[in-house]
Amino acid sequence: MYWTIKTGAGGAILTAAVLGFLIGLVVVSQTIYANTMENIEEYATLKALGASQAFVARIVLSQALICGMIGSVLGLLAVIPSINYAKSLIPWIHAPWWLPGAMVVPSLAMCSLASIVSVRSALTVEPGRVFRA
Amino acid sequence: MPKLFLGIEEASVSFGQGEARVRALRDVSLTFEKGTLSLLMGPSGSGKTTLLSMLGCLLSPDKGTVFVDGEAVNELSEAGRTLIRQKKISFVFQAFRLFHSLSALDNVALGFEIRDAAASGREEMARDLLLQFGLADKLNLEPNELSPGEKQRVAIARALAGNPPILLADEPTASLDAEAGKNICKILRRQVDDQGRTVVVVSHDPRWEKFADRTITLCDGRVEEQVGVL
Repeated sequence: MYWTIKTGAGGAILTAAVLGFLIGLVVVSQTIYANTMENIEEYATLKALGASQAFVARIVLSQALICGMIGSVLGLLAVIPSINYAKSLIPWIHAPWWLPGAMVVPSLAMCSLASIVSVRSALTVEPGRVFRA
Repeated sequence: MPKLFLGIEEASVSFGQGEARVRALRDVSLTFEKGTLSLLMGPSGSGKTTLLSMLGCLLSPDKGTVFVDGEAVNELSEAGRTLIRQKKISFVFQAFRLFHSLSALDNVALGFEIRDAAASGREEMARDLLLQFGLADKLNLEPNELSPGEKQRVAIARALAGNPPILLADEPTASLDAEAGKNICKILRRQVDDQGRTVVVVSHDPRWEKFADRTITLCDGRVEEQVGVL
């Protein structure tokens, strides 16, 4: 706590975390958007077949959350050994056992936020395009 | 006067503006009776697909009225038209438009999910439909592993999920060989004879004429000729 509040380390770590969140947001957003646009004809088909706006939004959001879950699992697989290794080198590092798992929540929130543009694209696609070649 | 089951009254549609304006349909009135198969023919640009889009609540006319199951639908909101499609109308496309990452079974099950998300036993119902179309050994194959004829049968099974009373088909045999095309003609005809569905087919394929109750020929956005009952 001393290092976090009384020194510049806390601010630096917080800034790094915010930057990581924003960069993650942009990268995930771009990935989901590219995936949505690649499959935009399928969203048009869904809408032509009578899928509601909520149904379409749920599909895009589910994809974003699945990406988030896979990313989180891969992240945890990398982070947990790293924390253990760091602790073995610097014993006074404080990293509670639940912290890596708790980071999954903001990661999924970030993925949900990142899917907003894609959800909008999927919702506004014109179902009438299903008859165009 | 009885309500129209499916049809359009004095409908006109234009695309583009100024000199580029194209009148796709010009004051067209047509009715489609319950339990019939109607064939829409005509040269490219004659308005067939525009008419099908209007009947399918995918396009509203600039002028005139579209009726689906007795209800004027062109003044409905987008959500209202979506609901009409969900409950009453389904489509079969020339390019099949199956979901490429899903198996045949999942494609059809998704059709059930769209129409009634709360329905239980979607997979069993989807399996039953695919069995009816002779696809028992293709249930778990993805669309790219199916022949064109099989893809179209899966697409028809998906269209029939949820039992919609109206089926609109755009060139459903154009991508198929002669045998597969004939099979699709028979399947859609059976939907009329056995299930009482109303089927409207847009096609250049003359084989459809002997399966249709009525053939409507469009030209330059107008009805040029109607042959058959009704």
